[in-house]
Amino acid sequence: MVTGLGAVSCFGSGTGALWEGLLGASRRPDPAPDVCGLPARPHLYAVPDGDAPARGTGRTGALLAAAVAEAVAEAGLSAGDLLDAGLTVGTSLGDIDLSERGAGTDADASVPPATHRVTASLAARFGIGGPGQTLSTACSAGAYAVGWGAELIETGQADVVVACGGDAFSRVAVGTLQRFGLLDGECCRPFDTGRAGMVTGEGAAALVLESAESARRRGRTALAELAGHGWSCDAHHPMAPEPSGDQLRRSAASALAGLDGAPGAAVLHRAGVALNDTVEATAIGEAVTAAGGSAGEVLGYAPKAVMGHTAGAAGVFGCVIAALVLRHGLVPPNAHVTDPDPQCPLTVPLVGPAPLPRPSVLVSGTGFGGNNAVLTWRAAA
Amino acid sequence: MTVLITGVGAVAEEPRTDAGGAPWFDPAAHLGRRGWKYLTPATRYLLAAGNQALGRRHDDPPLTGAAAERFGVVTGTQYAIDRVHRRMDATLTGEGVRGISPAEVPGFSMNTPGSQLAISTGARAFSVTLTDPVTAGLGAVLFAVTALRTGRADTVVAAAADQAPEDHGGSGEYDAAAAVVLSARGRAPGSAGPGRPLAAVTGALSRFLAPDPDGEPAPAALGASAARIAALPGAAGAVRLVIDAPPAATRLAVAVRDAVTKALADAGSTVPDADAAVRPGRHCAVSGLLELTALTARPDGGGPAVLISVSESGHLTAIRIDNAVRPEFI
Repeated sequence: MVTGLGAVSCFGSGTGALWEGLLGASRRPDPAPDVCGLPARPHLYAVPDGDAPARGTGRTGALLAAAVAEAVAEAGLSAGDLLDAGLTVGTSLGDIDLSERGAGTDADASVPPATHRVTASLAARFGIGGPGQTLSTACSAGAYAVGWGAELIETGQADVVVACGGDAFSRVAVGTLQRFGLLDGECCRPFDTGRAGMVTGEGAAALVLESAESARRRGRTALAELAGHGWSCDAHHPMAPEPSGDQLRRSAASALAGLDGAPGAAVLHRAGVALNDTVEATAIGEAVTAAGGSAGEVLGYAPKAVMGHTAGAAGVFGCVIAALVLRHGLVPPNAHVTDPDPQCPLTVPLVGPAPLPRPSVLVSGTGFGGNNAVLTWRAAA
Repeated sequence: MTVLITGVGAVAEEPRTDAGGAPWFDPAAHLGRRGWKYLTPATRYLLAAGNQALGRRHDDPPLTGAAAERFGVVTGTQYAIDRVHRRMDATLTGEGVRGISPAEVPGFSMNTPGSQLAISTGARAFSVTLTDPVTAGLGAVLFAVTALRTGRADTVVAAAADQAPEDHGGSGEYDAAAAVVLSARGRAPGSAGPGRPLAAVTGALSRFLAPDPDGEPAPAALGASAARIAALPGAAGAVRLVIDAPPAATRLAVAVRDAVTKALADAGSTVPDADAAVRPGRHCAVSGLLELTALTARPDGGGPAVLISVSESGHLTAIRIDNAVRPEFI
C-alpha cells in the first residue's frame, strides 16, 4: 500500500506543484549552473532554490529530505512509527556536489568524500531505525528502491518503508553524457521523431509503503496498491540496452502478472534517446499483448519531457505520478511533440489530459548496465 | 529456506612499508592479457574476486538462457568512482569535454563495476549496486539472501569492491574486492554455482542507530537492535562475534559489541573472545565481506558466527552464518 507521497521537482516543492506542472505540459529547461566543459551552458530542468542542505549533506540530501518530509506527513507517521520503519533510497550519484564543488581549487583535498551518506543522513534526520539501503543502479535506481522497499515488507523485515530517490545537478554527469552524444540541445522530446537525447533534471520523490495490516491498524487510507514488480539485467553493454528488449519484457511480464489484463496507462522511462525509447515501448507493448491485452489500449506517458531525467529519482517520480494518475483518473498530455513517434505501439495523449481507461498504471525504469525494473500499481480497493 | 555459501573470492591491498614498489594488483595475473584495459581499478578488482568465487576465468563465456535468468549479481561499494569522478571533473574544468575519452565515459556511474561483472558472467536475474558507506558489502549479502528467499534467483554473487580515495590513503584505507556465491538450498545452482557448500547464511538484518555527538547510540534503540541480532536464527552455544568498523566508528562498534554480547547471553549463547570482536575495517565497504570470506574459508566451518558492519553514521548490517549442512539436492 502507498499511504504517503512527496516530491520536489523543477515545478517546485510538493506533489501538488508536480501535478499542476505535468498537466501544464509546457515546462522547458533552464541553463545549467555550470558550463560543464562545453562550449555553452547545457540545459537542465533545475529545481528552484529550496531548503539549504543540512550540515554534512549536499543538494541531493536536501531535496530528499523535503520529499520525505511531505510523504511522512501525508502518511501520518509518528516518531514511534518510524523507529522500526525501513528506508530505501535510489540515487545515482548521491551528494555529488560535495565532491564537485571544490574541484580544481585548494579546497578540493579538504572535501570529505561523503557523497553516499544520504540514506544514513535521512535516517538520522527522521529517526528511521529499521532496515535501509542505498541503491545505485544508475537511472533505474528509484524503481529498484521502490521494489526493494516492497520486498522488505513482503519478507517481514519491516511493516513500513519510506522509499525515495533523488539526484541533483552534476557537472561530470552532464559533461560525460554530452561526450557520449546523449544530450538533446533543445529540450527533452521523448515522443517526437526529432528527439536528440536526454536533458538532465533535478529532483527527489518519496513514497510511504506499508503493509495492508499496518495501514489498517493505523487507520490510513491507501492511495494506491502495488500489484507486481519485476527486475532483470540485460548483461549486454555498460551503457546501451540489449536491442531485443528480451530482459525488459521479462521484467514487465513479472509486473503485469499482478494485474488482470492491460494497465490503463504506462509511465515510461522514455528519456528521448531513440534506441532506448524504441526498445522500451516495444518491450512493454509486447508484454502487455502476452498478458492478454493490447498495446494500443494503454496510454503512454513520458514525464521527462517536462521535468528532465532525474536519474536516481526518476523511478520514484514514476511511481508518485502513477499514484496521482490513479487519484485523479487522468493521464497528463505528452509535451513537446511536433511529429509523433510512429514506432510507439501505445496510445499517446497529446492534447489535454486523457481519462484513465482502467484503474491501473505500469511504471518502467531502465539504466546504464541494462538494469531494468518494472512496477504495476492499481487503485486501492 | 537455507541459503548456502558455495564459493568465496578476495583480493586486497595490505599496508606495506616499501612505498613506491610494484602495484599491489596485477590485472593480467587475474584477468588475462585482454578485455580489461578500459575498466576502472575497482572494476578489475571486482572481476577478479567474482571470478575467483565462481571458479571461472575472465575469458570464460557468460551464462546464457534459463540459467542466466536465474543468476543475479549484487555489489556493494563506497568509493567505486571517487577517483575517476574527481579526475573527470578536473578534466572538464581544465581541458574541457574533449579531454574525456568516450571509452571511459561509463566509469562515472556508480554501478559500472557491478554491471561489468554482470556482463562478464551473464547475470540476468538482476544487477544491483548498493552504496552505503561501510555496510554495503554485507548489505549485498542481505540483499542476495532476500532475493533467493523470494525466488528472484537461484544463485547470486554478493560482492564488494572499492578503490580508496586518494586523500584518504594517508589515513589507512586500502583497495580491495571480495565476493561470495550464494545458492538457495535444494535448487540447482547452474553452471555458475560450484559444488561444496562452505557455510549457511541463517539470518541477516539491517538497522540504523543514530549516534549522538559523542558517538553513543540511544540505549533503547541499541538494546532493541542487539536483541534482534541475538535472535537471528541459529543454535545457542558459543558464537563467534566479529564487528567490522572503520576507526571513526570504533566507539559505536564497542557499544554494539557489548550490547550484542549481553543479548546473546540472555538468549543462552556465549561469545568466547568478545574483547577481540571489534576489527578495524580499512577496506571501506569491502571489509565486512573480507571478514565473511575469512570465516567461511575454514575447512571445518568453525561453528556459528555473527558478523556485523558498523558505520560511523550508525548504520549496521548483521549476518549470521552457521556450518553448512550438505544439501540433499545439489
